Amino acid sequence: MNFSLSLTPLDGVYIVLLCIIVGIAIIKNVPAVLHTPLMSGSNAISGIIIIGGAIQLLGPKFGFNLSTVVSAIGVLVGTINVSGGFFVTHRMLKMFQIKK
Amino acid sequence: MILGGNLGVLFGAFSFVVGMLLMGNPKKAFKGNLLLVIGMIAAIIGTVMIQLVELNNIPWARLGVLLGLLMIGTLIGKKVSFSFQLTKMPELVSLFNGFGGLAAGLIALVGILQINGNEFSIASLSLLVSSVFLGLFTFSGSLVAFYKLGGRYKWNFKTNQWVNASILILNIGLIFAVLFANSPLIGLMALFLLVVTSLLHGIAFSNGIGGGDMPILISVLNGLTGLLTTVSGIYFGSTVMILSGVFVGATGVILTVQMCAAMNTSLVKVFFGGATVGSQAGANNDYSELIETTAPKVAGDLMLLQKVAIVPGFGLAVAKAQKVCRELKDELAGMGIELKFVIHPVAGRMPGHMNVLLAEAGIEYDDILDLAEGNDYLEEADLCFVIGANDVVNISAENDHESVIYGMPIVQTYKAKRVVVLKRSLSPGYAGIKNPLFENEQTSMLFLDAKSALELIVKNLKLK
Repeated sequence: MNFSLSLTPLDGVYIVLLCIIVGIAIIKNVPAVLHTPLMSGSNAISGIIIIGGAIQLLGPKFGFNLSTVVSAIGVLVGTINVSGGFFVTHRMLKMFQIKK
Repeated sequence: MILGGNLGVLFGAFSFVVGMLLMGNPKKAFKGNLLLVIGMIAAIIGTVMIQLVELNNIPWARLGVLLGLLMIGTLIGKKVSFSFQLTKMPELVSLFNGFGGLAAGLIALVGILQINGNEFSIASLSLLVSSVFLGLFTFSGSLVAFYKLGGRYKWNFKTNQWVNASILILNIGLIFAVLFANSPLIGLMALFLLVVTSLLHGIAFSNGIGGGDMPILISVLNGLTGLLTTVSGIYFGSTVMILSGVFVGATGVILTVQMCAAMNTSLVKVFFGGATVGSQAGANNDYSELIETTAPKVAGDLMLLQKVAIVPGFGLAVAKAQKVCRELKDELAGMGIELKFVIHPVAGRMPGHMNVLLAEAGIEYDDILDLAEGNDYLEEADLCFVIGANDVVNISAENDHESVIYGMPIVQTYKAKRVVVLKRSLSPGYAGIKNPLFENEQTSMLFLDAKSALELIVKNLKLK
């Protein structure tokens, strides 16, 4: 059974365009009260770039060389961005949850 | 396994969409953030699974290295994020934004090194080279913003639009040099130069911007990280990466547009106008006929009123006066007096800065009004406190055609029957201009540190 789809470049354009529409539609409605958490939360998910680093680290060219070291630093720094961003957002949003 | 991996990534993308949707609702944002975390973990696990299937055996050593990096990074991120006070949120957001840029830049750099000598398409190379540029640019730019926000930025060398423009042209030239280099050696040299000049470019870009323009700079840098993630997502062919990149980019773009509108300025003016606005200080900063007041007097007046407003600004964060605002609110509520907060979009150093501070003090978002609602509320308000805000309440923006801030929407404090300005001295705001509001006959000045002034008022209210 083969579940993988091969996408054409045109499909890629569709994906990017649809993502932009979904992204703008969702972010547009965020009220000013939540702008800082929104920013730090979206900042955290931008760290998803580390999956690119993971692909490099697990890729066939792995060995102890410059590329590996640089990828590793990239993954480390990116993870700090992800976890730091989420923890900061968590701290902020906890305050928005006021218990009556 | 490949199906499992794909489902993991799909679940990750789905969680991101729903999580971001929840982030738009104050009551559900907390859950939204948790959903984003789950989505992130699912996307990483899914990608690793897909990657493992493509290799024939499971490479335990590499997997171990990756897991170790992820764990160490998580711990460092947690430690850093808890080592800052909440008043310093803008600094932290800039710092992490910079880290994201650095990570993306480094990963793209490896991408280039790996295709060096192999077959590659010019399209993927151009995605990678622009990622290197944008990533390192964002990194150094965000670090400068981080140091500036902390008041620790010492360089402040003179840059102007020509420096910025020439370094931009240089970088574009270098990108093309990398793309169309005749030999790998020239390509590598151009790449190395690009790394250095991208870092310099980020510094020069953020260098000239300060004070009240900080919310715009932070939004722009956030948007750039989004663009960067989208570009990398296209290179790696990862939809979840494109999706998150677009979310981040949309956040950055929408907030930038809102911030610019709130300051009646354009991006071009902020980034290429140089720091001209702040330099006009002093010239006409003489006030006449100021009415001074004292905390006991304000407290005495307060008891006879019904509706009170507070307009906070960056000074509130500096004075750490958010908790005592809450005390004042509780004290007034006990007397049946309503207190609401009116927040200008660019109050503070990043979008939503004031909201976070007030939330920290336990003030509910129902009591926080935005510019339009706030101006309506002020029409009915008996008294309005201006705490650590200046330019956002400067009436020159409405009635002085010559003023540098003319046309900027302001909090219309003059609509309230009385205005009390809490200020340590008559120093001008970031725009460096006089504020005629202070001279109005309905305005009185309370020359004290915001925190001690409010504490005194609360104390006097309790006595009565």
